[in-house]
Amino acid sequence: MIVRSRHCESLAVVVACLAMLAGRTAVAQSPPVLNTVFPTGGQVGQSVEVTVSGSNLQSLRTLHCNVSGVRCERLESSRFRLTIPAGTPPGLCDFWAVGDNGVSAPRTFAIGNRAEQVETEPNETISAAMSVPIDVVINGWIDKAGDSDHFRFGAKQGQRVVIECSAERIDSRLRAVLEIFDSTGRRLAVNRGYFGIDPLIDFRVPADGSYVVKIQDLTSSGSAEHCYRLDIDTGPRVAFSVPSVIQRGKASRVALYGWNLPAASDRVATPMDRADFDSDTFDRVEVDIPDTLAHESWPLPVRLQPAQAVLDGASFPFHLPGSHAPVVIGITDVPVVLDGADNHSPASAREIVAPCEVSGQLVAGDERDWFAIPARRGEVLFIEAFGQRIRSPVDLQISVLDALGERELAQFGDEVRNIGGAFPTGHLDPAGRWVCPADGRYLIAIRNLMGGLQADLRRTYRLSVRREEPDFQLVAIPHRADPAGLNVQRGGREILDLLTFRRRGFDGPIRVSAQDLPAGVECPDVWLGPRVDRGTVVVSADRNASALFGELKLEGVSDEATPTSRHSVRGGTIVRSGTPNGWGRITSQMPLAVAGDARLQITADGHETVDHHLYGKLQVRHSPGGVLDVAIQVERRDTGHQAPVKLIGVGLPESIGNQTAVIPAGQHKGYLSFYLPPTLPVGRYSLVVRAETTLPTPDQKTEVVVVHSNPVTFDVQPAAFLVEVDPFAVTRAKRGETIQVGYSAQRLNGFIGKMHTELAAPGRVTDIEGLRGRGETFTSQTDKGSLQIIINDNAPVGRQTFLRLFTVGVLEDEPIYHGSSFLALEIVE
Amino acid sequence: MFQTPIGDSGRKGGKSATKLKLEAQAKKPCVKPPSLALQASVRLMLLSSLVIACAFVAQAAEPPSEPSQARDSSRVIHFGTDVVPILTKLGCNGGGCHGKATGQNGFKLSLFGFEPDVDYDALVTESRGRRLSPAAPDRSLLLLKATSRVPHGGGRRLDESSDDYRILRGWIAQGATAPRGDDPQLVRIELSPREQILRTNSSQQLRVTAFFSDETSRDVTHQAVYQSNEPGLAAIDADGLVTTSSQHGLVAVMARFGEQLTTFHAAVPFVNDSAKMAAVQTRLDQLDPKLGASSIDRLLLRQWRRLGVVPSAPADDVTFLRRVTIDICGTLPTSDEITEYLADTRSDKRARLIDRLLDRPEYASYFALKWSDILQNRGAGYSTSKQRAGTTLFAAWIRDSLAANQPYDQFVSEILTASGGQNENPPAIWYRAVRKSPEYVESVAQAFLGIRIQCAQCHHHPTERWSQSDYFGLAANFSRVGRKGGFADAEVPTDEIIYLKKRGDVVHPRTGAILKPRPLGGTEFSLGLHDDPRSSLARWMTGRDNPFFARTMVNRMWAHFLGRGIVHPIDDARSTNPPSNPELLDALAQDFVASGFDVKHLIRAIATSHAYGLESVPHAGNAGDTQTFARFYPRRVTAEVLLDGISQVLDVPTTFPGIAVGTRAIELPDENVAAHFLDVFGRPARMSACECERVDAPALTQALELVNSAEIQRKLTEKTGYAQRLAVSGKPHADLATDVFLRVLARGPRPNELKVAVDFLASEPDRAEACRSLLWSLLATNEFLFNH
Repeated sequence: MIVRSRHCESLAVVVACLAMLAGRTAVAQSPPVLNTVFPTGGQVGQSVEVTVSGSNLQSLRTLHCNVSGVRCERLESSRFRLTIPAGTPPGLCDFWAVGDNGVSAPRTFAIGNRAEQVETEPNETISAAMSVPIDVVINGWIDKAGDSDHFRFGAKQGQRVVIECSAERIDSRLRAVLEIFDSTGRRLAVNRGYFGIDPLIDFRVPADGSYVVKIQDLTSSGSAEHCYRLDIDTGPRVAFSVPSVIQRGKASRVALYGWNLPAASDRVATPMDRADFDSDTFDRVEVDIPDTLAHESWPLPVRLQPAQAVLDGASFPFHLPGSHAPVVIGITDVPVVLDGADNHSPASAREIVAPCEVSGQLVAGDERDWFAIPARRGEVLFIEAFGQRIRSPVDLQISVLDALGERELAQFGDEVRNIGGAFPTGHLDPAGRWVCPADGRYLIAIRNLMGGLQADLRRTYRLSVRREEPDFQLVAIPHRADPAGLNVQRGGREILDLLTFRRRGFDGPIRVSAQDLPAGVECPDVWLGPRVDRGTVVVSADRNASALFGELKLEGVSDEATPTSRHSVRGGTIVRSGTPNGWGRITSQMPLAVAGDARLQITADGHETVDHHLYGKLQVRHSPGGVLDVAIQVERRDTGHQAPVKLIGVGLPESIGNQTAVIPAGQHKGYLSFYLPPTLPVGRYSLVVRAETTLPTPDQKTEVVVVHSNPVTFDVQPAAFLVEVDPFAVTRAKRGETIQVGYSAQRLNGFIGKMHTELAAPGRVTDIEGLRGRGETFTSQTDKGSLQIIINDNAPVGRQTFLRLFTVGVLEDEPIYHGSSFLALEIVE
Repeated sequence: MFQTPIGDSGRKGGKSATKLKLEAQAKKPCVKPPSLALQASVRLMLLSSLVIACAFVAQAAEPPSEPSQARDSSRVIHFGTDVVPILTKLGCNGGGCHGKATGQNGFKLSLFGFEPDVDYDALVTESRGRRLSPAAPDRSLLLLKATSRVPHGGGRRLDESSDDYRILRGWIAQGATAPRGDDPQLVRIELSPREQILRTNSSQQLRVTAFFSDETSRDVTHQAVYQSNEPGLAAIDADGLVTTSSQHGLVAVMARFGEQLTTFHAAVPFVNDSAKMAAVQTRLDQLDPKLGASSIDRLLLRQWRRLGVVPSAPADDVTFLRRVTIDICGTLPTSDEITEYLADTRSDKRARLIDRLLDRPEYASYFALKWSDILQNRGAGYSTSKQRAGTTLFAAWIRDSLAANQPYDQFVSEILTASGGQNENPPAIWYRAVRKSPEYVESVAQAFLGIRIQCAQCHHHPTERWSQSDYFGLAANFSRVGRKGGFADAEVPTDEIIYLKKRGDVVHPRTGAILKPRPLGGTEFSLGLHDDPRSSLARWMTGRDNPFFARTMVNRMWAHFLGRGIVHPIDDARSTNPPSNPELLDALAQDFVASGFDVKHLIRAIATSHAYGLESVPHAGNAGDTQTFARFYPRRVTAEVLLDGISQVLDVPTTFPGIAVGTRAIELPDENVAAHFLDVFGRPARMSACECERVDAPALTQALELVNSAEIQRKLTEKTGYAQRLAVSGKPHADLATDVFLRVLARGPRPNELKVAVDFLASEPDRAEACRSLLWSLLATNEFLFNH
């Protein structure tokens, strides 16, 4: 039987369960942090009592699971009974802790189809090993430094017992090492990493008897968060499939590789058979995938690393009946070509035609697969390989060569760039754009850069060769230093970092908007400008919103992407913070909670008009080479709050330099100004301002509070001129002094109108405290001048914040164009 | 015009020049002959094919023939083959004079004259040609300085009446001809005799003949440079006269002329007359049938016969048990193991013991420690918490490879060609410590080829054939090693990914030429566009006919078990540091290759040999032997084994910070685990591939550590430890002392020792303190500290 994943949204049930929250007054308490759920999994059709640990869990109400039908019943403050209905497909799911003070970040929970047991101590030595049957999953933890756990099982000669530890995949800190010993204490096998750093031992029992499995941490560390699942299993287990990708909506035959797989009566010889390598490593069985199953599915019941966001919409889980977990198979909308066993040289290159996707294997360490493709001059191909992102132990490299394979025309490397910070998005899979130089036949070579000397059937890959069809994926993760969930205070805002995975040459703008928001919650549209990879989403809650638990659904849209211009934004979480040992993963949902009350709010306005003594009120127009003034209004809700407020930008496009400013104590308004560099592409952008201040606490102390503004969205339009202050202009002047500041206003894009330049500051032109500039007008082709600035005796001493030369360009007597250049000036006594 | 015709002066003139030079050296301490480094490092030589029949040939000093060039005044004098060797002989181009990197007082020559073109320019064209005056050769600055007729910082190097002076003068007078492509090239040099058996306190004149590409030859005895690898045993003067001392053994004398090297081998037997030699041979005849068919025993016996050495008696069982358990497992035998082994009466019980030891996990751990040193699995220098996983994975990979007896060729290939990250491929960690061209070359050459090639980075190796081209050609194999990812919070990133870069060039530092990947001393590899040169290098290295690879490994293992390499130091193989028993080295290497690079097979062969089972105590027939393995050479056990041994004896494990309790010192993942005891007793910092980093020299701090160590005190006083258990055991003093001796020294007490121990125990009112004192005193003995 073939079973499709039935993971789906189940928030409605949880929301109903949490209706009580709506009527409660949330306390101003830190949101919950969920570290562990133990046991780490449960059996289908059974109930399991779990204990959660973490911080701020005092007012916990329930655990929310993304898999429908999983019921949660609270037993004690940190104990819950989970009921997993029969028919639930096995795999990994997410659990969030939900309480009066909000929602936590998720922790992974495994739904399995084997009996579950919990480790019992003491079992630190072989002689004290805990006896367990085979075909069981043991939930345990290495709870202190230097700890090790031992389990004894009996087995018959010839049995194939697969011993697999899940730790990193279930958000554990444990870096497990597995060892097997015979009854005399002799070590028979060891493994320190098979699926990533999670180990697996394929143990062929040499003789009837009892054997001991030892598990410990690689570096002898241990804690309550070093939990694990240990499978000691003789049932079917699937490791990977060949092909690893099939065509969408098309029936396909797929070979599954794994252990203890049922004998396939209809096994046939296919090009996938590799007689040249030891096939004893894996069992192999072929299965038919019906066309109805060959469609993308979400969520995927496996752990997804950040770079695997691109598998969203391009894969589905396949569950072989009886096997312990599903295997993920890729979906593509172009024809799939199978790798041949004999295409290891340029002369034997396999012919392919774009667009297509190749599914292949690089079994030998130094194996290279060659493909020949016809192309016409000027034709653009986008070539991308999937290896690490489909959990294959490879580091792929692609080369495009001439027809003889002698001259390399292009080589594509990895995407090691990390745009996610603590949510690392870099990976080792290559991709690149190639423009065909002349009509002809070309070769594409793909190889594995970390092959080593041993053959490995797991080294599968996908090679996509298609036209340049821009596309993207989006992931949003709560902007928190700790692994916390998305919690919004009433009358406050919370932000998420938005990451863009731009693919196949896509560099256009993306609009991200929310859908189906719970009542009282707002999430304005934000824009990721051209080529921008990071942005910020702001979620706010009304001051009168009820305490609630819901889901944030975001969608990204771009008119410049093809063929699909809409993508759901997937959630992400930082599982462990810290560099380089921190890591994050994709989550199945983005739950949010409204809890507590905000004591401070700031509002940002990037479109405040400017009162110009010559042109009256000016609507701002942003261009490369201009300045974006963001007016910040502070709403001090606490009467005792008078402390200064420090401002800084968040989610800025990379090319815009960040700025800081301080709203003095007791004041309610300030500005943060950003220079828009001349290279900034025209388009629409969004940014957010972060404010930090101190608020009094009931015990007469102060606490640091950080709040964020609403998103500021602004259009960057083509510039008519570029204003630049002379780099040698005076930067220091005394009160009472008059200085000349040289500058230029270089005309662009054919602009020939009049330009008038004044000294300006945020919200003010010419009329600046203690300073006065004598404006200057350029007509005809004039583009250089000198502005006289009189520094009065009452000019504020110190660096002048965001002072600039502000130029207005006049077109048909209308003051249309604006341009500015910051003027670094310090006034001294 | 020549003042004296070339050839008029014979040996006397040459001697005079030498004397002058030596005097100058004495006055000018800064002038160091190039041999100093060698003198420090060279220990052994080989007597490869001496004929026993010609034993005791007392060679009188036979003068060399008159130099042919000195007689032939019409001969064209060539810069490369005539002038440069004289500059070398006189020490002008030595590292302490004009051969150093910055030259001396504005005059710079290539070190040891390996770049004649450079030297010619320096002499003839630099400084507006002021150094030579072809119109008035005797007024040439070169000659004026060398003869001290004008002040010379290096003193007087040359006598006007010497042959060397006349040759230099003649070359100048002939127009200071530049080296040309069709000049005769030096093809080879020959030493006469090549080998000899010498008495003590005797001498032997060597003669060096140079052969040229124009099929001419000449005696260059006076122009050659000499160096003895055992100057205490046999000294050599500047004119090739070997003089032996009263010591016995093997010696090698290197002679170099131009770029050519050759070696004279001599043996100084342990007995000086025929009658004594006959008696020795009789004793060895008696030994012969007791030896098996092992080629090791046969080849050692052959050498003992040559040198008239009588080996020590076989060690007793308990000594052998302790010795081999330490050498294979880095562990002391337990009392039960001793009892069991002594009760075993089977004839092959030593072989069975070795097999058992090789199957124990301690074998893999102990040798993994050794390889972790060589492979520089280093934890120091950056944040431990961030890279301990990497060092642990690499150490574990080494341990697993050894436990599985992975063939040595595969083991090395996997390290050399390692790509990927530490999680997928732990051997890639090797590339974390080894990061740059010099480190690649020197680590590979030293660890796997047994060659110290460091010199060739800057200049031609002075006593070997390795040139800068060889050095950088080997470096080119690693030119495409790329690194990506990783996290760097210090000078060395952690968790990098090693991969094959698209391109990477190695440039010859002098010529600027781009060097292609090639094996050491070989021709360029044929490589495709995407081929990894490291794979070609690994195939070359692990080839059955590779002259270095297998020999280096068998020599390393031989040194591990016998205390000294057949080539010694073990990673400094060169023609001027020959093996002490080349037939044995070859036989071991051939057997190792034939076994499929089976390391356990190699260990079995060595550990079951007669030589390994000998007593360490010398007798009159082999006293002073340090080269022929006629007895077991005792050495202090390594720091980790010592600490583990103390822990084992006292039954209190050492606690290492950040490491699981119960982890032994030989199992530590890297050297950055804090343990003062280990540092004091010579734990290496793993900064190079040289095993010499591990120090076993005695030091005052070691004695202080044994006296004052808080860790030892803790182990002695731990309530659950052996000392405390002993104290409360109620055993009679004699039984107690016997237990302690057996546990600590792997033997029972001798009668006098027992008496002293019992008396001591009886005299101490505090039995616990008495037990601790007895244990401590035995732990501090050399018998415990040494493997013997």
